[in-house]
Amino acid sequence: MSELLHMDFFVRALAMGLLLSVLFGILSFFVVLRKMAFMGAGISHTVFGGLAVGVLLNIDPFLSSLVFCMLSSFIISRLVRSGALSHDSGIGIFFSFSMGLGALLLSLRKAYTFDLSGTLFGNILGITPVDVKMTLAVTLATLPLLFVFFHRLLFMSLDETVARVSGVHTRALDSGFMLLLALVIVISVKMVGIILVTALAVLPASFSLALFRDYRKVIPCSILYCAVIIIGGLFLSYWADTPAGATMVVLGAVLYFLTLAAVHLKP
Amino acid sequence: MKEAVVLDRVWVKFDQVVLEDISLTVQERHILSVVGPNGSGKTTLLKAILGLKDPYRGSIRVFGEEPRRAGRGVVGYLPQMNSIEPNFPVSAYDMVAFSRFAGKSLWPLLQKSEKNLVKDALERVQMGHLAERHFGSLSGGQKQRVLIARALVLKPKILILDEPSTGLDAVAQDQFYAMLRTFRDADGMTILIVSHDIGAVSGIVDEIACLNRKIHFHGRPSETIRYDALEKVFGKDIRFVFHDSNCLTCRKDS
Repeated sequence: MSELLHMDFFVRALAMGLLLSVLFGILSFFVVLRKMAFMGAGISHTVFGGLAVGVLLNIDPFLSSLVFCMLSSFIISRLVRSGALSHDSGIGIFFSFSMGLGALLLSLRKAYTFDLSGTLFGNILGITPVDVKMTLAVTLATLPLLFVFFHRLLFMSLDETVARVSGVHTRALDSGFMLLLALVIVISVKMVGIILVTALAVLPASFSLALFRDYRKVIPCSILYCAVIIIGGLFLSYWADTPAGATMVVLGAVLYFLTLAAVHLKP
Repeated sequence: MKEAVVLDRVWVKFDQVVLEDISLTVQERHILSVVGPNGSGKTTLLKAILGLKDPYRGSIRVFGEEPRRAGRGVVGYLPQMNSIEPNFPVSAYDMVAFSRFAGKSLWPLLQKSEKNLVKDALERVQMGHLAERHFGSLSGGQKQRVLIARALVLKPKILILDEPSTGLDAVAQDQFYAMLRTFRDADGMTILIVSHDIGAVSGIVDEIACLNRKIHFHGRPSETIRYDALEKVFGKDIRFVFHDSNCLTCRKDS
């Protein structure tokens, strides 16, 4: 398998996987604590609509899906806060609207060859050096922000009302978190795809919370678990000749269920 | 004696009117309990006082300021205990420290003096020895003490508590209310309690207000609460037996 480390596409996938492990290891902690798993699924599916808009308007699909995703998450968040929509209804409507819009817009560009499978389930061959650099830039920009606002985010996740009364600017913080989550989801779609990216937003923290009850241990464990399933999934997929994104998610889910069983069966 | 909280003809609505023409004053260094059944508007009243819900008519002042301007450090808020996820991965110490993190600027770590404030707050509620314990593994009474410490660590002038006796047994309730009396007497703190349980609070408070959309009674617990006022608040099918310090018994057939 060492020959894999001489293949540029595989090294790029490894580098991007390690960076995403750090980002998802931390973000999934808040996604799970704030019970936002469905939100993660909703945001990732809006990528499809954004990609289609980019294809139709001849602009960079990454840029269009980023704008589309951030806008969607912002609107969902505002509608839910205003009481106009429940959380799950808002996400459900945007989720299906975006998928429908994407399919509709792509049907208007019949000549365009669109890698539907790669978009839905990821394609590590499509990861370019620019993608890796962008992921590195997002990681370097995100970590200081998460360091500064970590405890306030944690307080808000625990009890938003008390956090607000105690001086946390909860609305701004919530909007910032949603935008950050949208950004990280968009950059990771190339690797694991729209459908499977939700797993990276949920599995790492779920796994770690099954083992630890102190956030100082939960977050490093989430990062480590995420790195194991991404890198393990990459090697396994090469060995078994299976799709990389799907292999990572199945590996992650199996590890999670085995751990859960071991924790519950422990005398 | 100064006024800590003043509500002047306050009306609040969501889809329909929830609070109607509420005028209520909480005196400084007093314990006032607002009692009423579920759905009577107690939580909305708290939200209005905390600045989380604006009235559409009338005004609210907290130490002379609008609720949102009263600012951090003036109000300490204790939510209902069951609103907290028991598996949240934090210790009792972390739970209290959150309040100190809330007002941080760019440098997000606590100074030594702030850590000492957290420890002092936990000691104050006799929870210092359990500071490192997982919050979810504490008993109901211990959790309530930790949440009180979280409010105290901001050194508030007024403590606002939402259904604080829920989930506590009789002994834990007594200890809890004794602690509140200490805060009033030793620290000069004003305390506002919202509860559906008139019996639990009548023995320790300076004043009671009965709320069911409107205020139907506001006075000292030693004053006989007119039965028709209680009936408007709690309904016709309820029989009341008070065993407070005045051993006041108020029954429909008496």
